[in-house]
Amino acid sequence: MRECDVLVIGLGHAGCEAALAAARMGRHTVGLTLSSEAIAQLSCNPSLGGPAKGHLVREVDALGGEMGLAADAAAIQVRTLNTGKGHAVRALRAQLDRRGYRSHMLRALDAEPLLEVLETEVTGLRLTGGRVTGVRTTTGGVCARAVVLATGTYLHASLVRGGERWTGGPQGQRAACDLSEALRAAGLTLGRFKTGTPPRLAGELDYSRMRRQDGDDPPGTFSFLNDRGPDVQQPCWLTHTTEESLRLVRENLHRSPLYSGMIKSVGPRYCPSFEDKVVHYPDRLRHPIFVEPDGEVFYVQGLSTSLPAAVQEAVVRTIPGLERAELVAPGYAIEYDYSDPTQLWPWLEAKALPGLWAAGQVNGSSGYEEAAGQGLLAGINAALSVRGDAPLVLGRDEGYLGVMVDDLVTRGVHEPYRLLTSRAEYRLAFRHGNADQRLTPHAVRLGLARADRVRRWEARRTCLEEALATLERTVPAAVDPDAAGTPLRVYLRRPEVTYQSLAAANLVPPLGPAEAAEVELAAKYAGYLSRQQAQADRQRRLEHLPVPVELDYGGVRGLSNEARVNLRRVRPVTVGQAGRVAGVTPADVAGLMVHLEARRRQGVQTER
Amino acid sequence: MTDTIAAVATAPGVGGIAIVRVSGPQAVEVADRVVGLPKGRLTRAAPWRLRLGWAEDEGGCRLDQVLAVVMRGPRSYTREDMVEVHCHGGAAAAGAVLAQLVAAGARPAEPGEFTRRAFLNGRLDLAQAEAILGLVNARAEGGLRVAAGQLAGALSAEVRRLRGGLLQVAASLAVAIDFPEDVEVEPPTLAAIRTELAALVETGRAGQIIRQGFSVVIAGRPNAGKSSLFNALLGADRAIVTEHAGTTRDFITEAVDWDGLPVTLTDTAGLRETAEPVEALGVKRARQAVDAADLILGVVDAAGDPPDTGILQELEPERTLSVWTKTDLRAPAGPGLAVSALTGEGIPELRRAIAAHSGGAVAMAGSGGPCLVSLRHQGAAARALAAVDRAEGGLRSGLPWELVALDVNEAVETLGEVTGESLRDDLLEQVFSQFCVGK
Repeated sequence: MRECDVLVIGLGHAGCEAALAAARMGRHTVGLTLSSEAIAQLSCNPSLGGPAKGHLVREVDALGGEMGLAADAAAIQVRTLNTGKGHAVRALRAQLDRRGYRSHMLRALDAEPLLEVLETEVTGLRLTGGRVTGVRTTTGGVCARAVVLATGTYLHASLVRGGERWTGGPQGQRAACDLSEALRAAGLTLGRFKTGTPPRLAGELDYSRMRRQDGDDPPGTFSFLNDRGPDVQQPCWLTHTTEESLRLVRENLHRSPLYSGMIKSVGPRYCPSFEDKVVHYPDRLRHPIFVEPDGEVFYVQGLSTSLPAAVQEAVVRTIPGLERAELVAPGYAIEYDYSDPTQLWPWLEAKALPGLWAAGQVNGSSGYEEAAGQGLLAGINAALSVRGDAPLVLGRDEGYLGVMVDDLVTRGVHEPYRLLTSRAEYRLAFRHGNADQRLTPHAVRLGLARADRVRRWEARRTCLEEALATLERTVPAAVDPDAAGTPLRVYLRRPEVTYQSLAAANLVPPLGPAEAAEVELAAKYAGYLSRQQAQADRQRRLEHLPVPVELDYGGVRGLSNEARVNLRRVRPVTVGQAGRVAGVTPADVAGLMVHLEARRRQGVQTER
Repeated sequence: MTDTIAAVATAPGVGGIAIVRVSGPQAVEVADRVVGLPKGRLTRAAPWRLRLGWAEDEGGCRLDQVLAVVMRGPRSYTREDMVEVHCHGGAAAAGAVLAQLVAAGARPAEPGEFTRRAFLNGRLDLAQAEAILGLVNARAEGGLRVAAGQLAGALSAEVRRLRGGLLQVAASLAVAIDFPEDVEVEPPTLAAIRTELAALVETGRAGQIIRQGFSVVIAGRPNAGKSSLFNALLGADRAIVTEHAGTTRDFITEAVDWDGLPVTLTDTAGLRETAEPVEALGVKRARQAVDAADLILGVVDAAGDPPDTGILQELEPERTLSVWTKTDLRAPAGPGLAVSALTGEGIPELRRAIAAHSGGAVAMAGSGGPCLVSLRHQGAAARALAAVDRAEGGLRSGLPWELVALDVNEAVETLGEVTGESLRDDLLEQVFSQFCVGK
């Protein structure tokens, strides 16, 4: 039987990052896919990024992942969102060419000498003494010291449109049914989620009836290793649904599987089907539609639906600009099994199945970026485990990666989980511009940062530190007699003063726009930043106070019943994590701390 | 346990001295902002030594003469840095000092928090800690029952309502930031919520009276009839009354309940220049009691020949009610309330006048309307108001919404400390119920 260190099941966005990370950390890695066609497939929207998601791509890049590089290579339009709402929430979003994205990722997989890709279907897990030691496949099996489950929406997937339902994965792929049963048999609790995708269009579009949306000039990049976005960009087109579109949906609502009772599983509220929008917001007479270039066809963002194909086409033709469009591929809803992520430790290993890590949509998340982030961390931790090293767990104060994983494993999911900037309590500290300063040190330590990344990270750090140091100098009278003697750091807080204006007066070293913005933020928002820092410092002590995983919560006095039940289920590893478990109040945390201290002292006594 | 906590350590309403404790890494710095020493500063004071000083408010106005002692961790009850402030003015002064410590950066302690820290830091064993916590909790519940019963429901409903309004604002900022292309969001306004929140914070004054009692101090010249008035108001012969001037040497305090208004009534030594050392000490303490009082009854002997109204000039007019005593002998010769302790005439009117000066605390206690009684709730509401003020200022000056959101979220979170709700649970629920997102 074939043997390897790290085995990755599924090569979507989570699987690719996991396999690449493990291989780059020197582990013999095997990646399994149902079909090589499905590798790094952007199976829904042809875009990446936006608030929190763009930040996540930056963080994946800073930690040595591949997604940012692939996105830069495939970008056909790049925009910065939230420019007016603050520096930290400013985020990059890019339209991508699917084929370009896939081919970049395939090349990256191919370039890793320790990584091998196999096309096969996993039918079961190999268990040795309660530990996962490999998988059984339709073509035999693979032994592995660590297995990463990154199966996306493929577990027991079924597609629904109109009155029809058929078994299958996204984009015409097969579903993985045996594996779903094997996971259940091994003791994992699985739930069922639903998501959907809009129709793809071709034919004649009337651009005069839609609003053109162009990319930025100059376009930005996701990766810290790149400086320039694409030379040639393509526009997107904005339009909206009409009252006629709403009428058609209402008339055909009984034919939508969401309302006929065919689909009972929960879908994401932030990405509702068009049917849901019509029903839940009856007062809204029009909904925005974004027509996005997608190879030879167009993706209709905003029109996710599982109505019968004929109705979909009729609805599309009620939209200004799309009157003569043709449906190339109708939208559909997909239902799939996910594994309750509270079954995982914060390093993404299954509590009940040591040796098995899980990442991506199988954990109940949604989105390419969320999947890639988890994949990278699962791959790193699988590799660390094989090496016998302690896992990497990022804090909620280190980045969106830390926030996302903690949310998943501590709070669980009630709908497909999407990362939002609002989920981060230290949002101001998580910026596109400092993802490298926050996370690249981890990449360096893990051996995931190539020489050029280390060089760029160090150069940026030096630049930023020097610029910040010069801010301690004072304003010379020649520049502003009224402010003479004021430290530049304070002077920079004035609304009319910018870093670039100080640089123009030769008071500070010249910097690029991204770095200048970082330094400016440190000065202008110093009060807000230090408040958040103080909050994070207070919390950090609790984050480092361990809770024994075998703790008997029945013996902890003063816990509410809800807290006790949930703590037993989640088994938090720190007091900080315990405080975030659903139903746990500050009083419960105080009770837990008292218990732990009493236990510690008893332990000391019995040792004597 | 990286924050600094403060609380009144002595039982409420008992004894002339009350002790306020502060514990945590900033304990000495916080106390130093409130307690001024005649020489040097508390931060440099030798530990475990009592120092005489004055507790002052932000404006430097003296609240009470106090003794303060710094105890450096780990040689303290909690094993953290601690300061004890011994207030001479009793419970009311201690309340004022605590409020000042909170304004200076301490957080009002949860019931039993000092003991919990003492345990967690290894000072007490579990049995000791549990014994003490049991006592603390029993007392806290007993104390709460009095005021909390009718007020707690109305308060949490009001806080919930205000929090709901702020949550809507938080949701619109969140949706604007997290779904920039999905919905158009109008700039939110906070003016209405700010006004309502400020009104709630105002009820803290009445709440403080409900919690600690309304402190009324009787002051006047020797033999003006203060002790007779004291007894008449109490309806009991509590103070010794003689014809001799200077009979009352120390002050006497009694707690009474007048139609739901808890009053601590204090009789003091007559105010005059004296060379007699014991009496001089009494006069000094009388002046301290007067300084810490919520309301002073400035007593003038109507039968005096002529009546000595000089006392009224010595007292702060805003806090003073002029009361003419012995009016059975002669009618008052100036403005003020006329009473006779002998006949009881004017006593009911005086009680009503005292209630009228209690900042509406009686009305508040009776109406069942929302009222901030506990200092913890007062602190939370005040912090929420400050956050709303910052957010409003930020919106007006065009601060980026990510910063405005920080303050609005803090206000929601802070009010949630009163209602037991968390922003984490509610923000996204609100976003999805308020907005159609998903472009």
